[in-house]
Amino acid sequence: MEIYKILGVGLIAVILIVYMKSVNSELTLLLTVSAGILLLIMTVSYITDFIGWFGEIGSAAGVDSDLIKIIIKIIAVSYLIEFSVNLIEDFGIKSISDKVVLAGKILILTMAIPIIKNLLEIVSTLL
Amino acid sequence: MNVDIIFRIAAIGILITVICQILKKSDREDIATLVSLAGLVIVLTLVIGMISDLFETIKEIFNFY
Repeated sequence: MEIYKILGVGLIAVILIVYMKSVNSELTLLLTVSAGILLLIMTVSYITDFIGWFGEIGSAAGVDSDLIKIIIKIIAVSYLIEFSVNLIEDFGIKSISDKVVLAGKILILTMAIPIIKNLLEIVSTLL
Repeated sequence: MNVDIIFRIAAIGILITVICQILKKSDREDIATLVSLAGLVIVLTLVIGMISDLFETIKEIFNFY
């Protein structure tokens, strides 16, 4: 099972990081980052299944495929931002990570404009 | 890419520390600094490769749609 693998990586990484703190403190940071990336790579393949299922549901519900594409794009952007922000925070620089989050929010907002337009069109046809 | 990359980084760290200790004991501080810097660069290369791998995977996953 994958969960045992993930738990094992986490525990081994923690033990090594705590040990390295007393031996070679400058490498603990990189060890932390690499352990985090390892965990993310292990979990990222599960997103594929979810996205396929999401597209199926969207087409079954008769939603415009362009809108589904935009939503999946927004999910991708938010996952990327989450990963990068976690990495940056592992390096211990909070101010940069805050700015990355802000930039991501603005990007997502601009990407969502077609969806909002569509919603407004639907509302105006109802009225 | 698997768990062994964490062990590899830890092994490099311990090795570099031992080398640095020996060099420091034999009064070669400058070489010790260079060795620790080299270790840092090696590990950094490994980590950057991992980061690019992760981003490549994400790109692949989301490019299908």
